Amino acid sequence: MKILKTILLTMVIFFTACFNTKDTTVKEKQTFTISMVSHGQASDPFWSTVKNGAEAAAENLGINLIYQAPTNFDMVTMAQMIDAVTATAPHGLIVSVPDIAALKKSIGNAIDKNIPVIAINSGQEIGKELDILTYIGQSEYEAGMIAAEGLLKYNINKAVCINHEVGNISLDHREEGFKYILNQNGIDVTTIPIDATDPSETKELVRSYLSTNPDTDALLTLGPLGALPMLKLMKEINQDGRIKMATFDFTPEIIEGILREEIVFALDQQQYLQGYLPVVFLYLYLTNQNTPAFSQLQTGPSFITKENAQKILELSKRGTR
Amino acid sequence: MTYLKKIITRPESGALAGLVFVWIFFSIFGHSAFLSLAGTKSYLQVSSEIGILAIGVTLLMISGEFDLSIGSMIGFSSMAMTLLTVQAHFSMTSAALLTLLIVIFFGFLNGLIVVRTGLPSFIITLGSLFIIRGITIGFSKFLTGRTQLGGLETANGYNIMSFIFNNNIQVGGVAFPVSILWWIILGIIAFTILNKTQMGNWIFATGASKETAELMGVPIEKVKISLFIVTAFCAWFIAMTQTTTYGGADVLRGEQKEFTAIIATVIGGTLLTGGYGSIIGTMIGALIFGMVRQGIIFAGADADWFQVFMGIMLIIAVVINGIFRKKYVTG
Repeated sequence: MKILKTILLTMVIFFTACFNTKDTTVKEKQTFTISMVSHGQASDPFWSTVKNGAEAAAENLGINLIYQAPTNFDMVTMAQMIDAVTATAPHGLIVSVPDIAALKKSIGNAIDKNIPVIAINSGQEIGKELDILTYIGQSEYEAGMIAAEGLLKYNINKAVCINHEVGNISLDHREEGFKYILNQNGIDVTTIPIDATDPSETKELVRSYLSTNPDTDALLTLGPLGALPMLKLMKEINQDGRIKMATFDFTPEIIEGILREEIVFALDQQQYLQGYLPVVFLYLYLTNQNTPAFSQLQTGPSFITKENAQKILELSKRGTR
Repeated sequence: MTYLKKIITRPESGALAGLVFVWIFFSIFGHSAFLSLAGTKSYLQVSSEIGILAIGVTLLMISGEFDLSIGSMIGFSSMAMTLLTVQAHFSMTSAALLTLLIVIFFGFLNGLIVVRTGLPSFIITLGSLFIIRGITIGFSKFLTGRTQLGGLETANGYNIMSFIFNNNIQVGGVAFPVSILWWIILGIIAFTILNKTQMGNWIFATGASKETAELMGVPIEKVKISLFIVTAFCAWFIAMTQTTTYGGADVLRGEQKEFTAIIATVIGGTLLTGGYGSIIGTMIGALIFGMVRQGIIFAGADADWFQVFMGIMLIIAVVINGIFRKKYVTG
């Protein structure tokens, strides 16, 4: 029994230190509790930037923020997490919605309990079915259009688009938007689907395409997994810089590529805003009853070019870009 | 006194002590919501889904075998039923029955290969874990180009399926899912089979000593194969509950559920080596698991530390279980 007592005591101390015991303590001044449930896996650097944004906003506004996410991509667990969070009656809820069908019920339940909800990052269509406050993310189709407009400035004639995850609906939207604008301007776009797990095969595949289509002078990759092998290929065959390469999203290697003028620009989703802004909007709703009139707020894309690349690289090391 | 002693010396009492600890712990450190009806519903729902799966796992584990492919079977059943309904326009009920037949066949194959080769079921079903998950991803991508499918709510036969798997029982304004009721019913059936029938004796005998069981004339192969079919059925049952509740499926459904089911079973006092175990213990184990998983969310632990708390709480529950059993049951 002695062991048991020791364990219990240690646990009590441990958990008191770790858990928020907010609801029993200070009651004089109202502190808001906002819960955030995302589908971001722990290994994904994208989501730690989102979380950093939410935490920074919460700290600035004196809000108690609780961030939770399932450990793997598991929509059932995520729905049950939202249910549990709803039962704790937070003042506001921020959720990402990668699968509307699976999460609709749990989010609807939170709304029924009069918890204001803001959707972020994915699932903007949920605003059509549920009465959420707003959606904060990036509209992929429009982002694709912006990528096309960015490349049009270089007087291009024939473009190729590299898709590294066929079947991923967000990437399809990027590609469709890109194609739409370029086709309107009479520019031909060819899509090359690649196997992201095999960078050498990807490189050779595109090399042979470019050698049989030498008039191609623009290249867009839909993410870093496609961009990195292309960066290597451009080093080999594009010394004169005739082919203009652009990409969605960025890594330090891509920034370096921009600084060396091998990539003309990268498009940044600015996911820090997808963490920071919903906390601010919920705060304004709770304290000031402000209801944003836009059904979606675009956090991106923003252009990363030679001019701002160095600055962005430093910021990304701080975990805010 | 003798009556009290009778209760305290039952094999489940250790698990019960663990449950009491976890409940008191979260009553203090969890949010007040843990004690509310909505909170109770939240962990009972999680417990019931793990619990139904763990019932099959317990029976199989008592007979001395494992089935690691149940998580993949959940994914397969969810996706197969959704594909058959949404793509092939089957009615949802016939899609569910057809899926059940396929999954039972998987269970049968698992069992047959294990008893015929005599290889550890751990390895055989690890193989089927990958194969069944691979089939699920492969077929879904091949047929639809997608990994996520919805739209079951408008399908033919949804009402019947929803009545069976997605019903709610209103208690004090909170809708308790019908899976809790199914969990209890299936638990009672399994308990009766295990403790009151010849089949139950056979299961214990098979797990305790294969040689003795053979001498006693127990049809070991039939017992084991039928238990593999039972675990497959449990996986299918959970898949049906989840697909009707969430209106669709994705190819990753059920991933790692094989481990949670085994954890619930072991917390409940069933031996990993077979021959000893209890259905009531497993049900308490599932309850502990659900309470811990949801309780940590109520307590507001950060996602980065979630798994640490989860592991610590489970180990404590098992340690208390062990101490209690040593002190009162055997001592």
